[in-house]
Amino acid sequence: MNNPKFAGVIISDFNISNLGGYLSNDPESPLIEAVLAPYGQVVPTLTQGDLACWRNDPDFAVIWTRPEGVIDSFQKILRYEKVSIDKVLDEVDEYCALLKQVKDRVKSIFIPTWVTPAYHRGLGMLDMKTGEGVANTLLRMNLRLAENLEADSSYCLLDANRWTSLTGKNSANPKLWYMGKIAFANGVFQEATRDIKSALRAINGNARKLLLLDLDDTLWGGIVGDAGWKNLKLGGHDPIGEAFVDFQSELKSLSNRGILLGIVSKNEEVIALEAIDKHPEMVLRKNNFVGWRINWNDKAQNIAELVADLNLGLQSVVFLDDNPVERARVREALPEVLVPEIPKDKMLYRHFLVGLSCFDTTSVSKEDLARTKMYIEERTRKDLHQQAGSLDKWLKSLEMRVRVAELNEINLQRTSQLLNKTNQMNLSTRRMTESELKAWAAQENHRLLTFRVSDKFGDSGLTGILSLQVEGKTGKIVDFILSCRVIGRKIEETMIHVAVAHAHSIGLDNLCAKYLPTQKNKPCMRFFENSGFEKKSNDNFIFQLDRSYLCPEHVELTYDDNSPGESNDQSDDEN
Amino acid sequence: MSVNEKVVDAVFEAVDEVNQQLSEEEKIEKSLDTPLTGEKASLESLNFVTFIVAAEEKIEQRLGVVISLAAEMEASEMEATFQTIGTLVDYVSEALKSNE
Repeated sequence: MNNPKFAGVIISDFNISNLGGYLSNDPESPLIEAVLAPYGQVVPTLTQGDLACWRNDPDFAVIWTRPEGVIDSFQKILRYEKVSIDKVLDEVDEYCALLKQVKDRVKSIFIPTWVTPAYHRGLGMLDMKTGEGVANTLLRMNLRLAENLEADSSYCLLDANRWTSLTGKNSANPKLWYMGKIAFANGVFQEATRDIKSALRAINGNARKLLLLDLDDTLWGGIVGDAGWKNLKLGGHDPIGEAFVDFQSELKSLSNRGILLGIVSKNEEVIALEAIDKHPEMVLRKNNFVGWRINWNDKAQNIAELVADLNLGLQSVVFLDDNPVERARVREALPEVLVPEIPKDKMLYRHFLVGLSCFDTTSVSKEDLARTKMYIEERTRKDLHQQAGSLDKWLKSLEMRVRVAELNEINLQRTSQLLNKTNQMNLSTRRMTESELKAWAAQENHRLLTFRVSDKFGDSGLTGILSLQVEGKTGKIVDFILSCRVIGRKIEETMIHVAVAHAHSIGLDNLCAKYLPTQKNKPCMRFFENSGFEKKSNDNFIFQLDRSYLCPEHVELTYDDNSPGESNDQSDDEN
Repeated sequence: MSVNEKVVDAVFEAVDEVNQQLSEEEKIEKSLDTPLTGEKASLESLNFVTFIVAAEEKIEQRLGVVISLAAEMEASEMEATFQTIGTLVDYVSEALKSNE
């Protein structure tokens, strides 16, 4: 698995070299090279882009301050001096204006929320009083911070309160402060490191998407093949049974936000599915799973087959199994699959699940929320394919519709998500924030088109991106991206047809595409090799525009207003 | 396990904690002979502070005793105490025994 390296600038009003050390030396992906901004120089570092710390072109910044270090009114609150909450929030607004000055220097900016040491009781029973209490003021300050920054996806607020809670009563040792101006204990910096790395993985498109589960003693207590579904420990007035129900409920929550669930179990399929269908306390039913392999075969083999069937990569997968032997087997055979050490005690399953960071994502789109439904619809399509026989016959039976739209405010989030998460059918594997994408598309001679695919079974959503940069008489295809969900239905050819039609309409001579190889995007190379483009040296492809490019017959093509091209443009010329 | 062994374990746990922040070349050895101060000091000053405070916390967790090391760091008569991991362990073990 590739282990990318990110350069980060760490800015703070306290001594943060311990965080720098953890970030730079933690072996978990991604690797980080952390540069510390001059200690206690928060404002100069934010306002002066020519300081040394900015010179190595960092990918991200962490700006971690103590509330009393940057908000003067908060110091007054700590001293029980009267100050209005409006004044405090005005200062927060001013601080946010400073934070926004670094926007153009880095792709991502992480801002830990403000916390006070756990040992600080504030005003006790008065502490949640508006305009008076420390805790109340801090809540409002953090909320204002969030409100000011949430419109810009470059900024990501991280919950430092969770880090201090997890670390416990020693999260801030006054001795560290007096001796080294270190505001937090190492436990807090370790949790911060974990969350920063998780965020970077999400930004880099490496969030996990598929959770595969064993059944016996993982989803329910007992062995269904031996005990029968009626005797499983699930629900009821039993602490273990209750714990399994809560675990399933939490899995369903994951599914609700777009994580796919699947089953890999050594069982008789009929018996296992009967339990899923009939047990009254099952939270998860068949339609919550996008696929399963329930048989007596090797689990690693089953996982590989199921993942291929779902058109996903192994790097998207997490596997949970109570059996350490099965876990070890999958780790050894499929090192790209994440196989966490699930606790032995079933009552800790849910606790363990909600602590996983591998599913963290930069956004949750409408497509995410409907993802399981889309995969189940895909299963129906595949069943139809088996019945239909030939590919063309099957494609025609789908009644496919492709809708082309320019990048706009409504589809920006989903387009950015697709750009940053797609690995296989991706020509250049560019990664950009929403702001960067918007700015690129707005440039003269640039065009970014999105493709929305649906058929008689349902709407697959916005699943394709094609971006074009005109240089003289050449149209350069910069991004050619298609979600694995819809690969192989000639959407690829439809996208090329749209690009060619547009290129014709603006009088270009040729289209070119440069394939940038990664470990995962060979499918894109294979498509272009068979697409009708001519392959030149160094993975360059070219299409001369003295001819048209047919739209696949089975596709009904439409354009949103202001999108280039014409609907149902089919000509008799050859591809 | 003797008091001395528990102190060694606690101090080595503090070494593990500090080592996580250090590169491979900077990591210090879990050995009683590892120098902490002086010309051959293995840790630069801020890491040394972190190590000492971590050692206090680990000793409290493992032995249930609060021992103040950080406040003694600057005292000249304590220079020998912080020379190596071994001298630190000896100091703490003696202090705990005399409190029994």
